[in-house]
Amino acid sequence: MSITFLNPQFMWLLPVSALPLVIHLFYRKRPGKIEFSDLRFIRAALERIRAGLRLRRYILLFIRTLLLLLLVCFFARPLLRFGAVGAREASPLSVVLLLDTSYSMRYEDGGMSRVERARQVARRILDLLPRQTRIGLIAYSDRVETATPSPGNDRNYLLRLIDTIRPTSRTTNTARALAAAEQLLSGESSNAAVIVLSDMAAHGFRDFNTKFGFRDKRIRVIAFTPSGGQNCWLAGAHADFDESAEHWVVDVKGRASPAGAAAGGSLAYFVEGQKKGNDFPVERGNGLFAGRFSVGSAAEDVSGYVEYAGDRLLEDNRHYFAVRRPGACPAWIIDGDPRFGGASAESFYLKMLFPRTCVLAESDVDKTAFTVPGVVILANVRDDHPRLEQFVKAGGGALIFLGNHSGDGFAPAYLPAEIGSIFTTRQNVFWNEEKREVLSRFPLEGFDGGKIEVDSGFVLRPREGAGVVATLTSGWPFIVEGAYGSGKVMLCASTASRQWNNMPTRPMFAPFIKGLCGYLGAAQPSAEKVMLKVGEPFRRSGSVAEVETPAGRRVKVPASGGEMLFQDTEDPGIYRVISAGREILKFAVNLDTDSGESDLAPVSLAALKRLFAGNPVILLPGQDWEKRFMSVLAGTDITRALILVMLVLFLAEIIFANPAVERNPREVAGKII
Amino acid sequence: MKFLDTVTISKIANLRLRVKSVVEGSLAGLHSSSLKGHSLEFAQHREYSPGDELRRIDWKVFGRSDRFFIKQYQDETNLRAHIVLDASGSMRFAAEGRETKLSYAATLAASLSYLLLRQGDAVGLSVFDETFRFHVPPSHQLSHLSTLIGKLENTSAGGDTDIVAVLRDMGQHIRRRSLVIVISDLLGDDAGVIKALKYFRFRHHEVIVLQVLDPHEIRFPYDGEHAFVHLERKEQVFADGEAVAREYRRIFGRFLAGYKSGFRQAGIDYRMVTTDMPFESALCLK
Repeated sequence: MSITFLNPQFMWLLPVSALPLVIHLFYRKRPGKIEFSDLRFIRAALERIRAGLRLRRYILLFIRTLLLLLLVCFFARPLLRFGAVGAREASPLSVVLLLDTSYSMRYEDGGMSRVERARQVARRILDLLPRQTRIGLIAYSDRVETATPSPGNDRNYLLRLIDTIRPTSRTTNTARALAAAEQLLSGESSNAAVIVLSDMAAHGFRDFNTKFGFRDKRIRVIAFTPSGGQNCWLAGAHADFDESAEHWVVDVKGRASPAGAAAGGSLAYFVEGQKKGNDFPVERGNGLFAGRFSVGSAAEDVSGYVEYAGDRLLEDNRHYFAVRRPGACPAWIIDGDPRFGGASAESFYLKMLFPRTCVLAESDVDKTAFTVPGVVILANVRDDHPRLEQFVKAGGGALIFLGNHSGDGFAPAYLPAEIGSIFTTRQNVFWNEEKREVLSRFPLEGFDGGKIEVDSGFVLRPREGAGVVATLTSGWPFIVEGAYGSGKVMLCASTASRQWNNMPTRPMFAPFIKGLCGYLGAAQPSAEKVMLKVGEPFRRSGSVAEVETPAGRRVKVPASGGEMLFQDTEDPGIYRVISAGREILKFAVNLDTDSGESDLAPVSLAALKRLFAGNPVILLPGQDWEKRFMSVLAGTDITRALILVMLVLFLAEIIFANPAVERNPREVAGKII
Repeated sequence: MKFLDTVTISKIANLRLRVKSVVEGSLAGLHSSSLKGHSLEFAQHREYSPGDELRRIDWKVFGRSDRFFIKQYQDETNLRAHIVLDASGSMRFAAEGRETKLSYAATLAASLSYLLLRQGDAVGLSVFDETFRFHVPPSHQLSHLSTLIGKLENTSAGGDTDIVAVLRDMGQHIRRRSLVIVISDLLGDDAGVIKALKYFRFRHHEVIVLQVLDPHEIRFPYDGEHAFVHLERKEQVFADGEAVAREYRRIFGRFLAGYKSGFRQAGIDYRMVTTDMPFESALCLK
């Protein structure tokens, strides 16, 4: 806050206000002598008034000095202003409007969303400000959404820009907007202001590492008093496949601010666009609530959303999920010796396990798009294929069975073990269950390794970092596990057919191989990985594909370096990835509720003042703010108030100078006589 | 004469000083005697003045001179008056060019002397400050007036006051019942003064007190800071006249009220006069 004067030349008269003090000191030192008949009455009177006299004298001195001071100020016509110390009236005012478009601004207040109200206020501000005021506009969320290139006077342009502003699904980062405002105001005069049109929730003011000094300018920061609000939101929804019950279960968790606000609301579960049921949330204390719902479907993948009903911010009441059943990732079988058909084929038993999967010859590898998540099962492959190496490196899984062709120099980089000589001695298998996590997925009591007979295979020498999942009677590794890039690789010393062992005929073969594929596929983007937050890019290895947004818009996503990158995840919902006309994946995009955006608790004025590093922060009321707004920007003429204060001081002076209304001394004397 | 010029005399010539109670004396005057059985031997004529009994007018003289005279007889007692004048330092006080309290008091004393002597009463004069400076015994001869005025003219204000001691001393020396007229500013121990004068009343003297004050002593109309210097002791007090005035007036008023009620209770005639009052109104004791 500062005071400027319309007639500053009068301030030269300020020393006049010291006149009472000078007079006081002057007369204090030179009292005149008066002869008097008897001093005892004077002494007695002095004794009685001594304490009050001194105080009264100083108060009178103060009042008189202040009166003169205010009189000088009165002629100088003071204006009370906020910020812009030293700014001259003549310099044009520059204003930057920061309009919050984060999803919390969708909160409905009095039949209107907060963002709509902010737009109304922005238009009103354009009306109120003088024509010569230079105005800039920044619409922001956790980034700058729209901004004018610089402050200007073109009101029509600004009005059109305001009309285009829509609420986003992003969170709030006021720091970024302020940084942009600082940039906009860098070339402007110091007579400037930043007007924040936001819900002023505390979540928008957390990410401040630096304070805003506005390049050594003193800027008035104007905002509206936060109105807070009750809100509930869903913080997460997750679907898990219950293997024992053979169906999907959806778990949801949410929060309420303040605690208890969730009472009275309800949860609705939607799967594949169909409403499956309703439930009431269960309070967990501290504002947490949760819900659980059985979908009754055993589909390989499931997508949908959970919706909470019962508050005024609808955007964060819906949480989407898209989950693929573990092990249900795509698999490709590559047979290194596809000449033989029927039960003699290397891939015969594998094909039985994955009936929908095509069996490829090694020559088809370069023609096939291997997408992550996915698993390739190599059976008696002869050559190293760079495309497969790339696939594994990007996160694909590889299950490798060796055969007679594999001994002819098959040594891709992703192999977890070196391939040695062939052994021909019958041996049994022992599970290394204590050391390998993968085995915890199987009921090994039914996987009796002693009944697996391995007549032939390769001697494997595990590489550094690899682990042995199973060994042979001789102690040689039978199955070796390793990682390559983001992918996992499982290498078996023998074949996937009955030629070198009896494993394919054992009852454990089907669940074991499927379990291994699920394990290898789980290393890839799974149910968790395909749950993105608004604004997060979707990445996937593979070639060109299309993504269908929740609004039904299809976007062609080119691949670069074997990876497709989709960045237009601005709206929450279920996105479908389509390749060659076939849906290959769904992923869910949700609001970033972890940022605290849904918590509408207001920021404190003290926190704002700390943040703006000494720049004055003015909070306007929600209603009838115009007068105060203009007084903050243009200043308030306090001459009237000065007159009032001077009047009060004048009365005080009279009272103190004449402590009691007394009759004329002559009358007093007459009465005594 | 300094204190009794023609103007003053003309103003007070028609005044009569009357005394409430009966006094004893050797000459007939305006005062009835307490002594019974005296002869009615003619003593002298005196000019009539309003209030005199008509039956006392000597009609023969009126026939001859066409003027009213009354006869005075030897058996009508006359008054012995003692004028006690304060000439202490505080009586020197005067403000705004007015005459000093002492000057005013001396004029009052001279006027009273003139009145009393003209009535045929005997008048004595005592002047004091800390102690008696001098004492002129009472005499009823008119020529005594010049002696008294001469003494008054030579009186100047002196040092400190001890009015209580002086009055006590005097009370013990006046034997015959008399009229005691005290002219002073009474700026001393008020209780002591009242007590001392009560003693006079105890001795059946008639007492009249004329308290002479300057108007400034009552109003205290000073503005701003001043050093107030004591007239008698040269002590000084710094005070803001404006600030202390209100409290001063309250205290001084209470001081005067104390005298007023004290004298009333003691049956003493008391009058406060200020130096800006005309003498004739100051002498209107009744």
